[in-house]
Amino acid sequence: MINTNPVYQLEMKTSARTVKFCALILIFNGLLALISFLILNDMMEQSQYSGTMEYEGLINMYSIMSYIEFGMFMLVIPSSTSGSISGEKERRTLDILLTGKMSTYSVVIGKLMASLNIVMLLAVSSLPVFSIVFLFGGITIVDLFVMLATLMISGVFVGSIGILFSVVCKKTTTATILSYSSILALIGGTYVMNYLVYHLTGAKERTEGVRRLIYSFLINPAVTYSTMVSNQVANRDLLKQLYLKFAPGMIHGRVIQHWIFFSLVMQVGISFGLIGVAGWILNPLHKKR
Amino acid sequence: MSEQWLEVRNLTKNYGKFRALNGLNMEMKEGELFGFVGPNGAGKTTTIKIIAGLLRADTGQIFLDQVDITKDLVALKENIGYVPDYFGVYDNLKVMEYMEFYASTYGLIGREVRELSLELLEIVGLEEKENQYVDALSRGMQQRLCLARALVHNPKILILDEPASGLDPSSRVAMKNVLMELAMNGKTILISSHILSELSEMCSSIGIIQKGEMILQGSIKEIVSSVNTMNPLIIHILKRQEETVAFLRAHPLVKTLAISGNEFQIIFEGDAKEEAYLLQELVEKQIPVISFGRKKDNLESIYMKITTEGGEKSD
Repeated sequence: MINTNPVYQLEMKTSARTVKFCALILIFNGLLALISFLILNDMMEQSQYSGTMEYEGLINMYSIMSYIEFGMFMLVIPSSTSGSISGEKERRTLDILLTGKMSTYSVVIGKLMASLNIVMLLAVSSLPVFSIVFLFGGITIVDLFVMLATLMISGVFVGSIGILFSVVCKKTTTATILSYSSILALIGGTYVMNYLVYHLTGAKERTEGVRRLIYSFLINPAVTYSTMVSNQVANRDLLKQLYLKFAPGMIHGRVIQHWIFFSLVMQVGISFGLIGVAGWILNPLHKKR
Repeated sequence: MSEQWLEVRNLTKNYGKFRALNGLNMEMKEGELFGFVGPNGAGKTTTIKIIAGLLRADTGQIFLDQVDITKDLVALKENIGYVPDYFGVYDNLKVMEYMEFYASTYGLIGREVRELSLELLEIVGLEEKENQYVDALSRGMQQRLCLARALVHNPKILILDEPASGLDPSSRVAMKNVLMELAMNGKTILISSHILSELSEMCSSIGIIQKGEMILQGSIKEIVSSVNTMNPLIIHILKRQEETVAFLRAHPLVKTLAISGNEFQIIFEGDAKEEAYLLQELVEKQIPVISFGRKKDNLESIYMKITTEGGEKSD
């Protein structure tokens, strides 16, 4: 269905022609390949002396590459979506676009999907580098697809934040600053909020309600992604550490057991809400101005 | 079919405390090339944006072929083609791709779109540019491309907001010729412009807007003749100046008289029939008349007169 969205098609056509896009694929994959080469090289060198292979290094390589991928999504998507509608305003092409028969929701979804598609293309192009980990086992192809699915949902989430600011702001610069600030607030702000509440309330005042503030991490894509990667590589779990720090009594609750599911559902729900609001605001006939 | 094919009724629009449109009424007939003029800030762009569905009016209705398009958005989008005053460009997009993209925003896809786009590019004289990048075209070509784009869904009415602004003279002429050709082929066109000489050459009707109200509207011929009847009557004679002065001073419809040699400029409060009788009387008195007629205004002087004097409301 998305393939028939004219805005999506236009964005894909025009962005794929740019040198910037080709350079982005080259640099991103080059960086991943370099990191994996360095780690593998280090493993090989060590095995020459010890006579054994340290598989932990390989697992670390997967973790590092996954986090790089996540970082790339968090950096590229807001920058791309926050300029999508405000860019139309700056180019003065928005009015013409809105006189067409496309609904404003289709315009917003087309822009968001095009931004996501660009980073998905980056993610898919990096699969050959990722597949090095299959040589030694420990990570399955299902793990890779779960990682991509989590990335996709978190991408939609931060992308819809970018789109909303792009619709509200007249200038791309303002929209970009606000988008990054909001994502920073989601990632760092939820931690700061829990930290402050924890330290400002005494042990007796820490009621069930206060401890439930831990659920604010459900909308923190970094925590959820980290939990997912930790589950895959059986590493230290960031989420458990957060629970132990801020809500130790709730560590056996149902939410933590299904954290990734709840968080992703919540991110999808909020994304739908943000896209809906963005589409509504974009409709010129809803404007009071 | 209604006589008034596009009818704007009592349109109002406020931006905060500023009233941009103050009960604007406007009528257009099918196949008309209508010029929409007014000073900056008079409400032209606001009116155009409301008709194009890009702005919501506070009150009022717009009927297109008896359908209230303020309530029927599908009818609005299907029937209106809009050309803004500024041509926005997407990077890395070719002319044909530009046409196909906008066609697809109206749900039009496939080979027919390509053929239709080629036809439209031919109408605006860009048929040889289909594989060029849009941002490489000149401003005049881009504006003509925008015009072709606005026609891609075959709208009943084409609305252009100052399409000639920023264009060089040759591009303006090219644009004017395209619009006149479209009008000759039956397309209804509403065009706002500051270049009154061009409007008077191509438009069949005009509307003058000031402070959010339509202060004068009608065919150019009607407007010019109605304004001219208020102009002084100029009579140029060969000789017999004294008799002429005596006769004109005694005439009940002559209000003022200014004499410059054998030329008389009078304020005559009569219609065309009474003008004819005046001429007849002069001839009967054997006064040799060289020329006789009202001082003629063009659209530009009419516009200046109306907008600087505050304007009289017309029906």
